[in-house]
Amino acid sequence: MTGPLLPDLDRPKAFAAPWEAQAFALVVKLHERGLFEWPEFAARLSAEIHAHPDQPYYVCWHEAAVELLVDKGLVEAGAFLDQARAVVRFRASDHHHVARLTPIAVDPARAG
Amino acid sequence: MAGQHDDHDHGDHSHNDHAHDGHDHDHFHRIHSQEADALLMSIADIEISARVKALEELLTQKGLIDPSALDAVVDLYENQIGPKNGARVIARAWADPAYKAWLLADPNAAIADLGFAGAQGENMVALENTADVHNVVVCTLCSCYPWPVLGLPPVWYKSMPYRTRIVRDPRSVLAEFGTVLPATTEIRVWDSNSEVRYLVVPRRPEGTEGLDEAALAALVSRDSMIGVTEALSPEPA
Repeated sequence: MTGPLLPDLDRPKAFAAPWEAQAFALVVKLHERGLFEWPEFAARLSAEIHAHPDQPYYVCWHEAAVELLVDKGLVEAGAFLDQARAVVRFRASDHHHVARLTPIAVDPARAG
Repeated sequence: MAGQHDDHDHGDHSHNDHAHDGHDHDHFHRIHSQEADALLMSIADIEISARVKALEELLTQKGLIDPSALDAVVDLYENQIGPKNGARVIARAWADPAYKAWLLADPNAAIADLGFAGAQGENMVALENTADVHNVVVCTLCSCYPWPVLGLPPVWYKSMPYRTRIVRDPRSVLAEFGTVLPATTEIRVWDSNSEVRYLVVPRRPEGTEGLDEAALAALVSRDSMIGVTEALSPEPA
């Protein structure tokens, strides 16, 4: 663990990045649908954190979710890898969208 | 979603003014090597935000989740539930001795009576702070936390330093949170787990005799219900 002993005491939000919120919400929604009992997920999350104590919390959360969904037959590991590769490709191709630091359209001021 | 591109080391480019002809070419080249790499990547090599996105897309295709419902969950936990539900529980306990007795004796029922229940919050235990005893909560294993009443756990609650140090040296850690307790006050550290979730009932601040429940609730911070701080004091009149 790097950083100060009690990091982010003043951080106003619970999520450090949007993907963390997304990973969190996915599991909550799937649980609400009745696809698994909460302790099933909690046990996997604990195991994941124990197995990888240096891994960020929501990475453990995500990995625990994937393992559970694969074991339940709700997600196929191969299809998941294909989808993740597709996301990477999509993001790379999206990178021609360069920053524009001036207005792209101007509706000029009009005299009274 | 913001942060989609945070897996690339191109941060400086957003400040470029396009005066350098090489810029777009370099960028283009980088894109192509990334595309090639993606074909070779195993799942562990793929950046975490892409993996989460992929899981969301896959589950959406299968009809197991609705992406717009995810945003609603995040909003609910981060903004609407947050610690406000817990603050209402505490304010009621301060204002109504009978409710407080009920909260301490049967917290699940007392909390449900205010309309708060749901995932992961079922097995609550309420701990009353007094002049003699100060309670503070941790989850030493991961981050078990009473979400329905406190929202999502703060980052520090999940951190290894908090989880270990609050157990070894609670008085010092509380002091780091600005909570300097008299030496005569006993500090009790409680380990939240997946079956039991603790909620601290902080001491009612001085000078709040005339306040209604809504005003009282505003004094109940999230941290005071974890037990790392005391409740806020009212603004001097």
